Amino acid sequence: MNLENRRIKVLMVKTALDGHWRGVNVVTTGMRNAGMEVVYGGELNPYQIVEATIQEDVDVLGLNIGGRYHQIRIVMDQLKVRSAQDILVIAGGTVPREDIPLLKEMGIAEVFPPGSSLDSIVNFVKENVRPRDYLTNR
Amino acid sequence: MESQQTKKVFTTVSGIPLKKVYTPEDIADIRCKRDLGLPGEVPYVRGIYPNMYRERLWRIVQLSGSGTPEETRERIKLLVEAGERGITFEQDRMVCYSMLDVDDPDIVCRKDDVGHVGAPIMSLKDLEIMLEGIPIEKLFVRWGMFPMQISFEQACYFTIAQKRGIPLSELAGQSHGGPFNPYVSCPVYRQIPPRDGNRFVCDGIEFCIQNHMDKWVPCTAAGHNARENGINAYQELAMVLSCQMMRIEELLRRGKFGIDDFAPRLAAVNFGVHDDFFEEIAKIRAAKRMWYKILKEKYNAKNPRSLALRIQGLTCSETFTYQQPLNNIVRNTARTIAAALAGVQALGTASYDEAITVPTPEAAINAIRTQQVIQHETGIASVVDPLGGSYYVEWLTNEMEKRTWEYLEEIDNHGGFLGVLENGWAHAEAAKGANEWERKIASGEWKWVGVNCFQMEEDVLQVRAQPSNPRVWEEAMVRLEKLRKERDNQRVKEALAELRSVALSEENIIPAMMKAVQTDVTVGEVGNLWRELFGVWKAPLPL
Repeated sequence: MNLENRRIKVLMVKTALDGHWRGVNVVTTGMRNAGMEVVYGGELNPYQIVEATIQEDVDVLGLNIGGRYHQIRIVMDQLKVRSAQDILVIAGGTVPREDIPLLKEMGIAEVFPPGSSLDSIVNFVKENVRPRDYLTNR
Repeated sequence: MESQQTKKVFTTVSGIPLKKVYTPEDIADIRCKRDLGLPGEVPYVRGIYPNMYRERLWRIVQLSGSGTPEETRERIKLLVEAGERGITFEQDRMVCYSMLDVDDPDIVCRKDDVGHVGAPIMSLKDLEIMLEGIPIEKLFVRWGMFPMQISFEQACYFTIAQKRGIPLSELAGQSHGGPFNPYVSCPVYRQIPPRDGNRFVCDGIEFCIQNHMDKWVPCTAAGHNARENGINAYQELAMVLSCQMMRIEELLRRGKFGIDDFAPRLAAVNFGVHDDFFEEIAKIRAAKRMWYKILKEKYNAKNPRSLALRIQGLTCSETFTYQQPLNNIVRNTARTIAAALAGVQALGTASYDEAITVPTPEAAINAIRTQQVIQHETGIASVVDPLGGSYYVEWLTNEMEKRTWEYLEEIDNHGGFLGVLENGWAHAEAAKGANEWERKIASGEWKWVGVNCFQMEEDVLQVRAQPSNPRVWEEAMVRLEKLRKERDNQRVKEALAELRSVALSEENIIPAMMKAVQTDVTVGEVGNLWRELFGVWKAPLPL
């Protein structure tokens, strides 16, 4: 199987109930234009996010952060519990600079604050998505 | 250097092509008396009052909210001392907009977020705490946000006024009413359909007329939320006008009042003030002339208060940058000057740290000072409509009006205002605009200082985030449990039964709601009733 032909699959979700979707829309469009398959999961609680990540069998989880980080911590812990820690997790939103190291400590691979270019997001995903092991289906 | 490249095609931010220079030929068709008039005269494009800022400066109205009701109260007091004359309360979205009590499972699993942007006001008692010591009779208060919750919030606020001995007719302020924020740009979680929300908005308008609340705008149409979501200047203007026409039609259908009874209530809208200096001025000027024409020609209004459109501006922080945030002070300044030259009645300025955090006190005060410096030090208030007669500005005002009429027709062709909310056309238009803007930034076609030009590895000044109280949810739970224990739950049950019966009838909901809030019914209890009666609506996002 030619792994390069397989489309990268992304699940985009909102972790808070702030309602803003402009960022999600723009990043989703950018990723689709780059050939990725993007599913928008909506506004989900942490357990729903992890469930959807596994059900949709994605390579990348994109978190739109609109609130604080308690939910994020639960998502990252639950991904480990469900043996899904190999999935690339990225985040975006109005995250103050001083909070970015904290989110990375939780396991988020990269945080894209306002003003981040779509190219930088797409390239980061392409360079960091983990290849699947088709013998173990992960 | 990249920023000095000369563009081959010049357009406004909304895409209107621009010539190098404008001359009398470009406005040769203008008839001064018909198209411009004088300030305070039809068609009001030069100002809705004859003396404008010479007599009264535009009102400074700032958005504020964070934490517990007490903490929000302290921030309001700070801003009132700094000179704001109007307050817009921001509240906790999950509790107040979605109408959920803090023990709802959807909130419990996000309890850390409660209080992040505003206080969770669950009851009349909570609002009393927040407003303690705030002289609401002296301030212009924007309260009562979106259609689903508007009656609950209006009822709480009007009840407090009555308890304080303030006649309702003396209350100055405004209920926001949406509609773009709750239905398009930040769809409210678990809300009722737009059609049913509109019923509550119109009930509020009728209540205000019946109670002679001349200083209260029962619902405005806030364009800036749509603007921040991706649509352009003339689309925003068209959407705002279309929304108000929808409300006019509903009130005419109800048949209780004539156009001049309620149109003065609706002649108050809110626009974003965006990047393009002259385009925003032209938009606001065109808005006044178009409103006059619509009310006069379509609805045959005669009362000058029906015909003159009062405008509140809000500086759009969509293009405020996370990078080099002090630059946002300059953006704010340019927008404030544009709003003043356009002749707004009130203005809210965003904070320079908007892209990073809920406003810090220093940024919130700077936002007020920005307006005050322009009001008092630039001379801008001395002459009414100083740009009147400018070839460019008058041409652009005409062009804005023309494109807005065309877009109004498009809205009609796609289902009318309610239709485009329900069928997703409005959302698709916003998404298109947002993607187009992103493309222009990525290509460098539009310059965004600090982001795609003049970037810096490290910002000169680090803006710290506003620390937020992580215990808001716990405190709210304590308040909620105490409330439920101490109130007469039988009375609450009866109040909810009455609300149910009134909601299902054609009766005005506000009197029953005012009785209900005094039984200490909670926002979640009313919200759950609304969801049961009207169903839950999910915004048709193009994602």
